[in-house]
Amino acid sequence: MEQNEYIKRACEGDHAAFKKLVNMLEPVVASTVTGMLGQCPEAEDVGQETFIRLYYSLGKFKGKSKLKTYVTRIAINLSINELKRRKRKNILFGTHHEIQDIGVEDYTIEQKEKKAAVQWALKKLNAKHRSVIVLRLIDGYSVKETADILNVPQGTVLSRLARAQEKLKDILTPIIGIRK
Amino acid sequence: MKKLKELLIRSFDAIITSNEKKELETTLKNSDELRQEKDLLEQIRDTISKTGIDSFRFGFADRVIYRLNNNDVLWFGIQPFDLVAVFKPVGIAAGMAVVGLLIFQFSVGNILSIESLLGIPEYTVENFTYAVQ
Repeated sequence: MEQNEYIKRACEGDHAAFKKLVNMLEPVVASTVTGMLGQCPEAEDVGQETFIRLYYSLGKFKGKSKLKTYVTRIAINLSINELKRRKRKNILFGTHHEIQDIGVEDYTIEQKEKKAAVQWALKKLNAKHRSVIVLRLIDGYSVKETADILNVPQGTVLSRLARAQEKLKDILTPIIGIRK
Repeated sequence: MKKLKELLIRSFDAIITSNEKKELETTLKNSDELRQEKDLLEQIRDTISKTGIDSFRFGFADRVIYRLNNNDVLWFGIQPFDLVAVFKPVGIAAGMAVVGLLIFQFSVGNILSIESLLGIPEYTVENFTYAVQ
């Protein structure tokens, strides 16, 4: 069955059809949310919330963009909200979010270390820079798609990408064996 | 060199002009520093692109559907936990009622003033002087 048919049936309240859509779109949402927030319990909560928002807004989805892009926009906005919430919590209570090993059992120690190092480095970037890196380099969206998802001009995406890569280069070079 | 490094970073994501491409290629041939910079950026981009996680914990879709089933009852098509959306129609209705009342007041010829709207007695200087005497 085609994606459009699942969308139509989900709009009519068919949860089985919506579950198929969740299974189809889980990889992109998981990649976006964990890229933004790291591998933590809140990432799954944001992932679930993304799909619940998608369910209630499916009726508004006109099909002008791809469903993948549409759901990524929801995921990135909710992730940015979660980052803001964390920031407020950190200011008020001085708490810190540690990256946990969830779902990376299949990777070697070296890969785990690299992943952890990259996620640690991504946490050092602000939300604007982090979102372009996640969308462009982790999710593999084009510059135009990234600009559409973030609702900013392509030039802004390019300048944020350049600044973010400069920062990542400074952070990652000494810690993950990338040498000049 | 700074300008060329910026051009190098841009070349990964944007289409650069043929002149810029030529300039970059020539410099890459002759400059160890720029070649090292290119290798470094390629490694970083490659490392980052491999860090994506393609699934949540097993049974993710079931947990989403479970949550949907538990929030299935909608109030006029609105999620019950969305307070802003719930109170929006109430706010709009109240606003319309106030506007309606004002229009009615004007239509029956009563003159409205800020004081009467706020419930403040309309004292003038003469009233005040008379009261003191």
